[in-house]
Amino acid sequence: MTSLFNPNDVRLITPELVLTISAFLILGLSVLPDLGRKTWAPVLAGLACVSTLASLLSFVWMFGLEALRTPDMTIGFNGMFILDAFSIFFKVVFLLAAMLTILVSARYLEVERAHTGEYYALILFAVVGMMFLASAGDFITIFVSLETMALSFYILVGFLKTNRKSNEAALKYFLLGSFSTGIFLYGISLVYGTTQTTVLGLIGISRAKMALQSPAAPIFVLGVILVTVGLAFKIAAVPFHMWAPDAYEGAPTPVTAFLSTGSKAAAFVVLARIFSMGFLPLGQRWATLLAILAVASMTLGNVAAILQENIKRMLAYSSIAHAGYVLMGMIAVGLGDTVETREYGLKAVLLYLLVYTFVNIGAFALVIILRREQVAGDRVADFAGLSRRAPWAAFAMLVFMLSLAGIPATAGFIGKWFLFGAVVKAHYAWLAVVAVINSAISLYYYARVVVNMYMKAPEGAARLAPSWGQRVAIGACIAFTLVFGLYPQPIIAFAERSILALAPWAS
Amino acid sequence: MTPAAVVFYILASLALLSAVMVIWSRNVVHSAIYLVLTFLCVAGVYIVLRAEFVAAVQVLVYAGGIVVLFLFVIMLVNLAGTLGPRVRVHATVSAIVGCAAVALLLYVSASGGLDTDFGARIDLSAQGGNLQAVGWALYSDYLLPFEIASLLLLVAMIGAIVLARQKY
Amino acid sequence: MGQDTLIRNVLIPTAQILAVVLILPLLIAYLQLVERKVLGFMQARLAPRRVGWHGLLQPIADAVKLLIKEDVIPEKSDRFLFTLAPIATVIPALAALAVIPFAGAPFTVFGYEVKPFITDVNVALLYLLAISSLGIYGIILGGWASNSKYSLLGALRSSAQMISYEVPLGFAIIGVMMLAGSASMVDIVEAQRKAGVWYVVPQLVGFFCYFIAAIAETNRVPFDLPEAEAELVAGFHTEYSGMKFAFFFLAEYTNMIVVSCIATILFFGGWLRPLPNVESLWWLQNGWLILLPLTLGGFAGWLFGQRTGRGLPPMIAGGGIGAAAGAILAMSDLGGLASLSLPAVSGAFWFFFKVSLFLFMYIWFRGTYPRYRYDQLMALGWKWLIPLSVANVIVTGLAIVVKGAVQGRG
Repeated sequence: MTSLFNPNDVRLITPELVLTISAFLILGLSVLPDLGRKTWAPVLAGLACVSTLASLLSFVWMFGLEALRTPDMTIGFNGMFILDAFSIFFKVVFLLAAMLTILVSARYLEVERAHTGEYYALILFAVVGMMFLASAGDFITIFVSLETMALSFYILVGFLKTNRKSNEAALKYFLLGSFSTGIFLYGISLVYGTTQTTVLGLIGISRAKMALQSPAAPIFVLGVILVTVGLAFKIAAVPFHMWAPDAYEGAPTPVTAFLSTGSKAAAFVVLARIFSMGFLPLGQRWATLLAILAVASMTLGNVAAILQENIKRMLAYSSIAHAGYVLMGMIAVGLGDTVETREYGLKAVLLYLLVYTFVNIGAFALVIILRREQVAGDRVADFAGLSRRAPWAAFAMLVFMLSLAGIPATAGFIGKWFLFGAVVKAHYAWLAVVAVINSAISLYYYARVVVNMYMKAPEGAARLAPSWGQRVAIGACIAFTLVFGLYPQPIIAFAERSILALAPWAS
Repeated sequence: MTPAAVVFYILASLALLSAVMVIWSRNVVHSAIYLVLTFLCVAGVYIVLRAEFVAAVQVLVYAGGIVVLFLFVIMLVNLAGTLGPRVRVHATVSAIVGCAAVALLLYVSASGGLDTDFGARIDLSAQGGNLQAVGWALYSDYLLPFEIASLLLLVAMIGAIVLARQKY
Repeated sequence: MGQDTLIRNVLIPTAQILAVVLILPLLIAYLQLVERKVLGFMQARLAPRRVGWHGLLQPIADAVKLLIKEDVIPEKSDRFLFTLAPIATVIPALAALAVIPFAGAPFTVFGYEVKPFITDVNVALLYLLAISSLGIYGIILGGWASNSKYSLLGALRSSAQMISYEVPLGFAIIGVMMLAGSASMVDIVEAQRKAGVWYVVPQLVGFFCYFIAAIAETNRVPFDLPEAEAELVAGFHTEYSGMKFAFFFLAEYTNMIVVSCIATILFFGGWLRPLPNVESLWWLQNGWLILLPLTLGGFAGWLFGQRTGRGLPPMIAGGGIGAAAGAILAMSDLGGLASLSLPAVSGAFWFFFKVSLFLFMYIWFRGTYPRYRYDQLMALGWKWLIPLSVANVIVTGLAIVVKGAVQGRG
């Protein structure tokens, strides 16, 4: 039990260490005095971007190119840290999301006059939290990493101090976020009380069944429900979504992009890890719970999105709906009667989150480049006539909107295909029907943006001036969406390799 | 009932009573004081459970630190009179949920699902007492979460500085 | 429960608690007299000398006055909290004494072994920190409940001050805990005996931080901003009178004593004599045999000097003669006086001797230093003491590791 830590374990957290150290470096450098009118912030942005790249490369350093394909599951720090294909997949997603976010941030922050080094340090700290989250094999690690991520986001959402909307968003997000943390923690404590352990693997292998058979079973189930509720807050599933529209609207747009992709993916990692490692014996029960959340999220998210005039709010509701879609994959994990079905569900979740990250950051990047001096650029009407002002930008937005709606030939279609297939395989076809109807509804508001861009006259003639970073990021997102929309095999294979090892206690 | 059980029940009911008073009291400062009382009683419960270290830290951090900050803020913003009529719907829903949770716990407790040995099984003397046991746990099994927690606190500090300072 | 266990587990602890709680107010009353006398001497004026011989009954008179004075509760105050506040200040202050060991060796009363402390727990230091952090409530509530601007401002100042200085206080203590490997007060003193050196030597920086932070925690000069009389009348206790005021007063002086006790135990070897490992100084153990004649001789010499106008030389001479006589007495065991000196008594002597030196320092500071300005106070706490105390912890840790490595190799 009480063995001191093994120094070799430090090697396992190299990517996280790289990021942490560069975050310290950025923090230290951000107190340097400005040189005349120039500030150090762009340099720090570059440093942050390089550090995410270095962190990505450190995986190669750890495993070598060949072994990276199917790394063995390694457990370090006395079971607190699990390094497996699943966690590496998500770490890659987080790092890519962070890199894209950093690329689109610099110009935006200059326009908002809030360009400082701390911003990048906080982004990196959030990524470190997410990466530890992906590897957490114990409720305690999960909790502290989740909080590290959440706390960074609370601050980032309120980063525009002089903007009242940003303040309000930060406060709402903080209050509801800490509330959900409390619920999550209470759930953990009940689970711990009834299973006498916080180690997920242990709970999954034997303790969950023991707890279910003991007289304390109701408390264990209550704990599971509360954990679900806490996580539902983080993924913004209805009815725990109230914070999302306000937080997404008020936050600096790059932060919104990161929040809606990175933070959501991180919450799904935990969800997948807890439910498929720890609570799999209760699969039927929590799948029903998640099904309710999924239906509510999809329906309310899509219907409410129709009514929005502000594109950030619209995308917020759309992201609520997407959380509902992704939950379907988890439902298949819980309900599946064979290991294949369960793995299929997990694969769908992984795939969708990867695709969604690129598509959503791309969509927000377009909102970001519309933000210029004197122009907020976050109304749907601001997109009017974009095809004439900036044809390439309009084309990019078109691709992202179609992908979010799930039109074939885009990556979004592939993601949805697998998710819908998963619930069908799990004999929950009615859920797939609901999802298809919802996709049809969503088409309406995504198309509205497209109509605005292509069929309305522009209101102003101001040209867009995206920075190089923003161009690169948008280009990467388009390339991803189109290439893998037409030729999805590589990412499907990547997701397939990366699913959690469910075998030992799956049946 | 063992003496430990008697003390436990006294402290626990006092803690619950003052927790109820926290939300019942109309005066914010009174609420804060009841909160302190709750924390103190919980600390007492920890002592009954032979977790002296947790008890001391509970008092030090919660009663001695956090509620003082609460009071500080209450005094600075002068909340007197801003508490409007209670929102009936929310209160009703909360009451129902709370009562349901209590009923569940009572049911489980009645059916023998809860330990009532008040930490009698815990023997820390072999590990050199409470403080050492906690230290060992933190620096062996829980080293990684412990280090991540330090990162968490750093982020909180940066956040406070970023949000509070005048210029960007 | 047998009669024996009843006495052992119930009666003796109760008696110990009663002894501490009852003796303390008397002690504090005379501490106040000493303070006034010393201040008077420092400021070249006569201190109280009307009530009793040289004012010796003044504390009694003060106590009686406070007891029978009208207890005013302001009209618009919060009566419940106004009454609660003084109680909430006194209780933590007294509760802190529960873990203070006044001497090392136990003594025997009617065949029962009595330890010279109420209890010794393995988290004593944390308990002390926790209890002292509760002391803020009385001040903050008293200030708020009085419904007076001066009180509120005083309360705000003092709570900010106490929260700020609790941090360096806690960090300063950690260094000692690391050296001793324990948080029990008795173990810490025993560790100093084993180390053969008072911890003030390796932990000089820690002691420095602790002492400054402790003065701030007790709201004493030069950190007495909460009751800065020139600005805030009397700070948080402006509206208090009678017994309630006396309670605040009691708490302040109890805190002073507690803080001095902790400083003595952590950094000055508690009940150990100076240089506890030097065998040839064994006679110092009976230090009171030396110090008592020294003081008496010195005092007599001083009085003689005052009367005859010869100044200080007679005092030095008297003290010297007394000390010499006492040393001979202690070393030669003349008249069996030294054998009368139980280990508990000599331990208690050294303990209280060190504590009184600290208390004298407090008074000395009060007679010497002007008050800090509020922003200076905060800057001192946050920009100097906290980094310094954290650095002390890091350096101490490194030193222990290096020492362990060197010894492990050698």
